[in-house]
Amino acid sequence: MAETITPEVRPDVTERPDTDSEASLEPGYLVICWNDPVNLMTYVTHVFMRVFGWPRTKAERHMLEVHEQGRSLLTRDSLERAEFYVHRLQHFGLQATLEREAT
Amino acid sequence: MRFHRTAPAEFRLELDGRERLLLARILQNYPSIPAHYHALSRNPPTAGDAVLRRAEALRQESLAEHRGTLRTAMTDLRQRLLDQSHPGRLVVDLVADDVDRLLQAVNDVRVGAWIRLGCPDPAEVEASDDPVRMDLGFRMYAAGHFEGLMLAGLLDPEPEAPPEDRRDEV
Repeated sequence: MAETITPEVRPDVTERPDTDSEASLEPGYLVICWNDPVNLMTYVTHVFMRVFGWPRTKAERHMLEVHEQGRSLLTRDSLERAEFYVHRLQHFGLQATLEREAT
Repeated sequence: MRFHRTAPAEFRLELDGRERLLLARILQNYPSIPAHYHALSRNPPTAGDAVLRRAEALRQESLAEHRGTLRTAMTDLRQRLLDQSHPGRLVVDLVADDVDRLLQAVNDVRVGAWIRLGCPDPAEVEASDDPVRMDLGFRMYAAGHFEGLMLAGLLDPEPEAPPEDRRDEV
């Protein structure tokens, strides 16, 4: 089949080193939930479902990780989002923290 | 007590007269978890880490504000529970956010009592002659009872709608 070659138009690319957003420059933050012996396993599952909108199977997998390994990495996100998740998890009384991702 | 789903995000809590008093007594102890129980990070921000120090201050502010809101909501619920002009069975309809608030408060009382008991293995909290410890143990178990029943109702699979062509069948 014959092809028609059309000129490819590309946008000009200019170096603009100072225009990256703050979010893309900041390091990632890890949201971690730590084990404690007092929160009910079903409660932790419910909280993960509510805070992250996860299906029950995923929430239970992370709950078991907390229970068996002492902690579970729940998500990696920007500082702002990680803070939001930690606030929500602590409102439910869970031992949740954010840790700066190692670079 | 009965707690069950009435629609995908709606629930009904039914309590008899004694359960109303018991739940009111539990909620009276909200909040119980000390503020220092939580932290932003296991690696506390250094003096020079302005970003994380600001984030820690924001977290404390958020938690305090949330507790204030929750305390108001639980005070309102306690008034309904203790309302003697309508004694006996009480039915409370709740949306998902109401359920979360009630669960948070009940769980807070349970965990707060556990902390004040010295963080023992929850399965080995022993009976005590000391009235303070006895009361804390009672709070733990009573709050756990309500919490467990609510969680069972929450995590019950939602009833499936009948197939379209069978909805009118009785």
